Amino acid sequence: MPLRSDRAEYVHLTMPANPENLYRLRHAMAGYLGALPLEPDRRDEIVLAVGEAAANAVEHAYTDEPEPGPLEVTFWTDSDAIWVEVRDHGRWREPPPAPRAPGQGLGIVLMRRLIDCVLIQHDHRGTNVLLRHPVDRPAPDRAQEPSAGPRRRTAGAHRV
Amino acid sequence: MDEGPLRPAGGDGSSAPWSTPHPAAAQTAVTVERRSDAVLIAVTGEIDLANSDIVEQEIAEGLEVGVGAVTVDLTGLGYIDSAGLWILFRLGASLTAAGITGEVVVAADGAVRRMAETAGVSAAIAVRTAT
Repeated sequence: MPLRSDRAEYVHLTMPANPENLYRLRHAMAGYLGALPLEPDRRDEIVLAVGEAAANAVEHAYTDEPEPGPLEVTFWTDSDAIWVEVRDHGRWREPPPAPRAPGQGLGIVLMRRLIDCVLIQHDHRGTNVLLRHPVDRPAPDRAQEPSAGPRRRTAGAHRV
Repeated sequence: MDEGPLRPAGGDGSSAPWSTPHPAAAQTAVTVERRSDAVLIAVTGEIDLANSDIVEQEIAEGLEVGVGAVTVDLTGLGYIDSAGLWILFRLGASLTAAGITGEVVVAADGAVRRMAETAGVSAAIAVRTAT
């Protein structure tokens, strides 16, 4: 199901990284995705993954600061994939050593199961989560049918 | 999460989704119904990081000492994130520890069933798909 290349979308949103904005962010995302030729399951997967990436930023990026800093979400399409970048400008701190507190880490696990390519970068400028979702392929946790054998990839083409 | 009023932005992202008449944040309604020794807790709306603490508290208030079975009806829930899934994991663990039968019911379509399956909630509490 290729996206129509003559209708590329590009949206950039900036909002304070507070919990209340998660609701508006995902409804905005659902609205943008609703205009694309996507199956509802694919749309849900992207909205859910973006929600987890944003919730991570809300929960962890600005804990040392009196006010939450900015959360930036950029969404764009190319001919066969949907891309979303979720960026904060907080300070990355290594997760505490095991055992982890309950609730930590599940969001990242979910993102990786829902989205084909998840790249998480962090440096002194903050944390950047890049999601790439090919529109013609099931989510990673739905792609491994026993009879299907290993998933075929063109080397490097689908990893960002 | 069916969307009515929000339209895709043009190339410049100028559609200003913030101005649409949505609630300011995730909202839920938790209703508790007691049937002899069983409790049915229905949660509607959406659960995320912004309201997961209050939802968990409201569910806990619906539980009573001596209850034999707890059903959490999420068929009217439109969204759940990892903060909400942790409510289910913790609820399942505490019900199991107390010897209480627990069950979560999800709608066949939509984000909640997808998330419950993806996260493996059924390891902590039985998950049934509504027919």
